[in-house]
Order: sequence, then C-alpha cells, then structure tokens
Amino acid sequence: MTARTLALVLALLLAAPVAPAAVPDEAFDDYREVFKALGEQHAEAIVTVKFVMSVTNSGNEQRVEDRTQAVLVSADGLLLVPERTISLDFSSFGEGGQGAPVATSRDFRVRLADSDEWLAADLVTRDSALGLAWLRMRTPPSPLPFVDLSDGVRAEPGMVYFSVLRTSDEWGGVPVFRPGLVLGETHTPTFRLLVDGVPGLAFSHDGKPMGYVDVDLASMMRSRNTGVGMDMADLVLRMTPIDKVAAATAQAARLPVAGAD
Amino acid sequence: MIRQTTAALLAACLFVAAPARAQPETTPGPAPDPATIAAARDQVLPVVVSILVVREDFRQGEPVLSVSSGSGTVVTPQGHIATNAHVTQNGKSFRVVFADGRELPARLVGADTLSDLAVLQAQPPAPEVFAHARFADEPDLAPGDTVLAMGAPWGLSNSMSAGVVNNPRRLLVSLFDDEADYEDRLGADEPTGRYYAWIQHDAAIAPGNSGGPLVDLRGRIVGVNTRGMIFGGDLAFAIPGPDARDVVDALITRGAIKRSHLGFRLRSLKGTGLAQGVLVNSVERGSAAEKAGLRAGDRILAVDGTPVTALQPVDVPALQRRIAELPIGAEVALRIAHDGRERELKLRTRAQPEDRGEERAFAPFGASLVELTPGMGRRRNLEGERGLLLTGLRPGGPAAIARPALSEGDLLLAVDGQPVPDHAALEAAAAQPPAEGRPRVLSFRRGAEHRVALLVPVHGDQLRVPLPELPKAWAGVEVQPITASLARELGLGGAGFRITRLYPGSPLAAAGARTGDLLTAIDGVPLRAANDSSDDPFHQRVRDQIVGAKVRVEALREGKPVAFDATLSAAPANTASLRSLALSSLRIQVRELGFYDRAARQLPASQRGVHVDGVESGGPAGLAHLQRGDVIVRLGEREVGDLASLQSALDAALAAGNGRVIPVQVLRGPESRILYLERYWLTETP
Repeated sequence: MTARTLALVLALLLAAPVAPAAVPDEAFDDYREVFKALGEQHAEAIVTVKFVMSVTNSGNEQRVEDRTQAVLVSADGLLLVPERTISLDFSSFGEGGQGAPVATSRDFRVRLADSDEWLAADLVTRDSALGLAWLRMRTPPSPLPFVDLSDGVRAEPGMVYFSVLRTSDEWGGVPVFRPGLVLGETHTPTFRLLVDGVPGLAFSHDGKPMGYVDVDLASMMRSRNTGVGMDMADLVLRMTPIDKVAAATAQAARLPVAGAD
Repeated sequence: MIRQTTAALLAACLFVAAPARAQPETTPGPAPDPATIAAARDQVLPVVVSILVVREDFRQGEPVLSVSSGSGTVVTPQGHIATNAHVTQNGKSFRVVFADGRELPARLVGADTLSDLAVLQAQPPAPEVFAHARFADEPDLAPGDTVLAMGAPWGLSNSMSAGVVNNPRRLLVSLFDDEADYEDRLGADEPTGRYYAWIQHDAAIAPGNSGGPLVDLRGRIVGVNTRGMIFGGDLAFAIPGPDARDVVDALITRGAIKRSHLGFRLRSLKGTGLAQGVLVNSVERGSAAEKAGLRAGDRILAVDGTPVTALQPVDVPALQRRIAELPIGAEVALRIAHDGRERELKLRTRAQPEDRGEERAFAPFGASLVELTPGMGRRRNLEGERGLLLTGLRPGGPAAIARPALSEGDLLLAVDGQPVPDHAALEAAAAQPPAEGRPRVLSFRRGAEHRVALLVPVHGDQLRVPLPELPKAWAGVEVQPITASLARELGLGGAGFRITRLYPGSPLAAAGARTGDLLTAIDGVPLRAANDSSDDPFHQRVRDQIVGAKVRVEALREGKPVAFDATLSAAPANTASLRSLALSSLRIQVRELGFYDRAARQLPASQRGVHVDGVESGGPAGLAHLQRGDVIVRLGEREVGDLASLQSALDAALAAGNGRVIPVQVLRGPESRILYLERYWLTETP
C-alpha cells in the first residue's frame, strides 16, 4: 500500500461516524445454535474420502488423486458419495459421443473424524440417475456414527438448509457449516429441488436430512456458454429429495462390494 | 527422430528475434551438376535405413511403450548402422527397413549419449555382406558447400533433400548467451555436444531424419543429422563425419566410449582481452582438479607441455575432447596462470562417471526410479550418496500414499535397513511381499534432510472391478421429444415422445409398440417434452418406476390412440458397469461387449466379442494396429466371445507355435478386418 493510499484510508476511517448498533443483540438471530446442534448430531458422520480417478486415452492411462466429502450412513461403514467421483462419462458432456473416454475411480480411502489414518474402502454400487454412489469401509471400527436417512424431512421451496463439511487435514479436519436456500422445484426431467449452496447432504435446522445436493455436471456443461444474455436462472444446484436417497441407500446397503461376486 | 532441446528452441527464438545478426553468411556457388548429385545419391541412399524403435518410457511411475522412428546408414559390410543415440534411447526392440523395403530386426551394439551417436547391427536370417557407405576422413566442409540430407522425415523413408553448409563449426551459443550455461542447456544428465561442434546446414530435415547421413557431392558421409529446428526455417545440425566415424568405430570395437575426467569445465577467452590459454569455468568439489589446487578463474596455458588456446566458444569442445581422450589413470601436467603467476599442476585422470543411471519401474512401490550416478549426485547436491532417485509415482500407488508420501526427486537410500544403491538391491530387499502385510520402512533423502516413511507395497496386478449400478426400469426404446407446438406444426395430433428406435425383445416391443408411435402418457400421467432436443423427461419417467412394474403406455399411431401394457425390465448394463481387463501381454485394455455397444454399431443381439478400450502404441496390439473401439471376435484359431475366451485364445495361439504371425479378426465400423500379431512381439517386447 502506498503512503498516499494509506493516508486516504486513515482519513476515511477517522471521518466515519461511530455507527450505533442497528439491531439489538437480543433481536438478532444468527446460526450459532443451529451450527452447534448440527455439529453435535452429525459432524462425526461427515468424513473425507480420497480416491484415484483414471482416464484411458489412446491406450495410456492417466491418473489423478482427488478428494471428496462422504457421509457415513450406517454403523457398519456404508458411505454415501457423489457418483461423479466414481465414474465420469465424458460423452454426457457432448464431447466425443460414443468414443468419449470414461473416467473411473478406485483406491478409495477414508479418513474418519479425529483420526490421522486413511482406511481402505470399496465401491458397493452407484445410481447415475440420482448421482449417488456408495462405498463400504473394509475394516470399520465399530460402532461408527452415522446419519439415519430414513428419518428425513421433505424439502420445499423457500426453506433454509444446512450443509456440514469437513476440511482437509491442512485445516485440521474440522467441521464447517454452510447455509443454503431451496430456490424452487422442477418436474423436468424428474422431480428435483433447485437450490443454492454447496454439494453434500442437506439438513434442516433441527438436524433432519432433507436431501442430497449436487451439481449436474452434464447440464452445466451444456449451458456453459450463456453469452452476454446472462441468463442466470439455470445456475443452480439440484437437491435429490431425501426419500429417494434413503430408498436407494437401503438397496445399496443389501449389496456386497463390487466385484465380490 | 529429431530431439528439440531447450537449447535449440532458445536458439530458434533468438534467430527469430534477431535474424540479421544471427543468420550466418553463406556464399552459395554455382548450382551443382544434376549428374554429380545423382552420383552422390546413388552411393549412399541405397544403404540408408529407416529405424523403428519400440521405446519404454516411464510415466506416472509406470512403464509406457511407444513406437518411434529414426534414420541410419549402413557403414560396414557386417551390417553395422550408424545412427543417433537419442534414436535408440530407451529402445527395447529395433527393426530396420532398407531402401528396397526389406525389414530386419537389429540389435544395439552401443550408444554414446555425449556424442549422440549409436550403432545398431542388422540381424539377417543368414550371414550376408552388406553394401555400405563411408565417412569422410577430414573435416573439409566450407560454408556454401552443397550437402544432401537422407533419411525418413516423419517416417517417410527414402527421402532426400539438398542444401548448403551454413557453418561447419556451429555451437548453439548465440550472441546473447553466456557460454558457461551452454552445457547445462544441452540436457542436465546427458550433455550432448560437450565435445563436438555441429555442422549447420539448410538441407530440409524433420523428425525422423535423426541419425540419417549428411552427404557431400563426393558421396561421403560428412555428418550425421542430429537436430533441427521447428522455428527459424531450414536450420539443421549434424555431427561432423570424421568425429562420428571415430565414435562409431569405437562403439563397434568396444561397445562403449570410455573417457577421462579431471573434474573441471572450460570456457573461452571471449570478452577477457586475453589471447592465450583457456579459462577454467568451474571445478567440481572433491575432484582431482580441486585436490591439485585448480580453481575457477584459473587459465590453462598448456596440457602436457602443448599450448592450448580457446579464443571463442566454438574452440572449447575440441579442448574438452582432448582432455577426455587422455588415457584413464594417466598423469597429466597442466600449466596454469593463477593470480598473475604461472605454475604447473599434476593431476591423475579418472574414468568419466556415467551421466545417467538406468531407470526402471518398481511395481510394488508404484514408482519409477533411476540409479543415481556420481555425476547426477553432484548436480543435485547429493555427492557421495548411493541410492535410487524417484522419477515418477503412480497416483494413489504405494509410494504416493506412503506415510509421509514420497515425491519425485526423493533419493531412496534403504528399505527396512538394507541399502538400495541399485535396482538389484531394491529387488533383493523388496521384491517379495513382506510378512503379514507389514509396511516397509524407507529411508530417503529429500534435499539435505534424511527422512523415513512407511510404505505398504502392493504385489500382483491391480484389480479392475466393474462399476455396478442399482437396477433401473427400462422400456427399450429411443425417443424424440415432440413439444406441443412442434406437434401442431407436424400435424401429429398431440405432444409426447416419438419412438425412433425400438430394441427387439424390449418391454415396449413385446407390448406391440412400433417405431413412429407417439408416446403420450404413462399410467395416465401425460408425457411432456421440455424442448425439441432432450429425451430425458421420458427416460426419467421410466426410471422413476420400479423394475418389473406393469405400466400402461398411451400413444398415437397415425393420429389414432393406442395403448400398450408393458412390464418394465431392468436396463442393460451401461459401459462403466461392464467388466474390464488389462491384458499385459498384449498391452491393451478390453471389456465385455455390452448392449449399448451392439446398439451403437447396429450389431445383432447375438454378436459376441471383446471391446478394445485402450491400446498402448508400442505394445504388441499397438504394433498390430489394433485401435480403441475395435471388437475382437477371433484370435488365432479360436472365437473370442468374452474376456476369458480372449485370454484362452491368446494362450492357445502362443502354445500352438505354428506360423510367424497370429491373425486377429476385429469388427471396425461397418467392416470386419484381419490384423496380424507378430509372434515375437509377444515374447520380446517388455
């Protein structure tokens, strides 16, 4: 900062009147209680997963290690992750059609809350229509904290929801919370809630799961060139209602890990 | 193969920036007589060969095969072929193609990276005497002399171009470079060009000309084309013929070039105002030169009593070479000027250390490693260490997820306390799985720090499991959306989804639907197209049903209502759900042939085969020209229906041992093709 800029900033600060509190403390309602309750109920069920995604092109396999957020959904180590981290079909982006490469993942490892170990996990199954996939920990320490998806609430436009995320070990692996808003709903091509916020499991203010929020990569790629019209209406995330997430998870819970048969 | 080094690129950029100053003057004489050119051509072109190389490089910690090509010249009656070392570098197998189209396997006789020269020898089925060309004995080229470049640019064999010599003694040091950086820019671990100035000429060459001859009008090999420039026009560089001849002869005789080393580098007197001697540019720590008292900045006036002088950078390589050619272990006397006084130093030469060690992949660690030579150690401040330098890691592999993770540039010193100075030591220490899957303790250097890490090795093949999906309901049709307005314009009588393809035996086919029917509702709920292009609303409506559900699908056929009672089945497996196999013997990735593969190719439902997902270009399948997307239906004498039958067909074909080639029948597009696997590819390529 130059001396001139510094002087200008100081002058502005000195000139600014001391503003009285516009809203009394007792009338101000923030998210502290919600965050505290969510932390106590669910933070330990939110874990970090590392995986290796590979794409084969011209016979040569390129691999890259990546990380995502996962939710423990059973006491015996079933994990819910976004399906895009398991398989990514580039033809769905309109690039290359039938010949487009498909990226697939393996070497899943899970880091539980308050642990510095990476534990192996295997793919169970996935549901590309819902954009969900399930992993199972190979040797889960039991019992594990988990989110009961069967005890959810129906999301509706106008509702506020909360996401629980876990930072990487670079930031200490601590939980962080993000509020989001249900912006609308659509039945095209099927019923989904349209939301802002971040990908992951959405909770109500009292800690009930509401749905799974994710980005629709294929749709996003199709509408990436909006031009100068700046039509922002499609720039939303989609939330799969919790009843669909719970039903699919119940199916996945009965399956062995992929390749075990 | 033409290697575009940083030096060449930098030089090219400089030429572009300052063409007037950088371009050498040429004095072209009268156009040569066509008969003279033809005579020179006929002496050499018939013995110029194209060289096909299967290379093994390392990427992400794993070996990768590829095919490259270069050029060479037969230089002895025994079939020795002179080429560039960078053509044969990392080569695992070689084939040479003669001007008459005859193709022979070849073996590597020797390579010398410091001169960028190598020798192959053709391996004919029966002994024969080869026609050959000769090197020039003297470096007698002058600017403007006509020269002919011969070889296989871009793999196009029997090619020849003509040009003139621009400068017979060229060093890639431009007017703006510091000559002290020259060697560093040539290649950190393989400083080609330390001992030789190049011939700069403008006979057009391209990648693939590397190793090919530069020929004068007397039909002599006056140079070996080594590098060209992508930018800057037809600028090409060749190793002088007489120098190349000496190296080639030594490689044929001894298989390697041994050089002496005193531990210092030189630079010219340019810019110093001095007129005698050559400057010592740098002195290696712990070298014979340092121990004898030589220091950077000293000036060498004489070697063993013979005065030496390098006024310009181009004079330096010959001096470097003169020192390198001293007998190993001999005592040498240097007359030097130090702080204004002259004195004599006596040094004993040592064998020049290898510039770069052998690189290999070690699968249990998921890493590629190179043996650290003293020269490499010196350049990395790792002097005196012996170990294996990590050059690549497989993401997610054992080394990449070790605790802490290893990284490129780490020097592995010991495994479970056993030193690993070379690959053999690593194999001995860690080739077998550790007891009870225990992690191994690795000692390594990272920079100046000595660290330890725990690594859990992975032995055996990487498993490839399919990516299964939860079963979803399927109606068995492809559809086109018809919006209300489109239906009105087309006079279709209603909106919905028009059947564009009906899969035989599918639920709607079984229920009596036909292509062209307009589907309007499922179980009484209208089907609404969102736009003219997305069929997703129909498929999602179907997927939202339960597998096995009985649904009533309403439709319009030629404007009249019809209805189908269909029992929805589970959708066929999509591509990612199919089982795959990495077949290491063929170096391909294959998977089961799925429903959608057959649908896309309009193959019958009964079509069996194996879909090729990936082909490594230098592997046996790549050499046989298999392509991604091919469907293998037959190999050798056996039908291929699935992954297991492919493996057994290959085993059977190899066991049968009859014939030189193994035929492979594939479906490619609308055709059925026959490709041929050479049997030796499966046994000789790594």
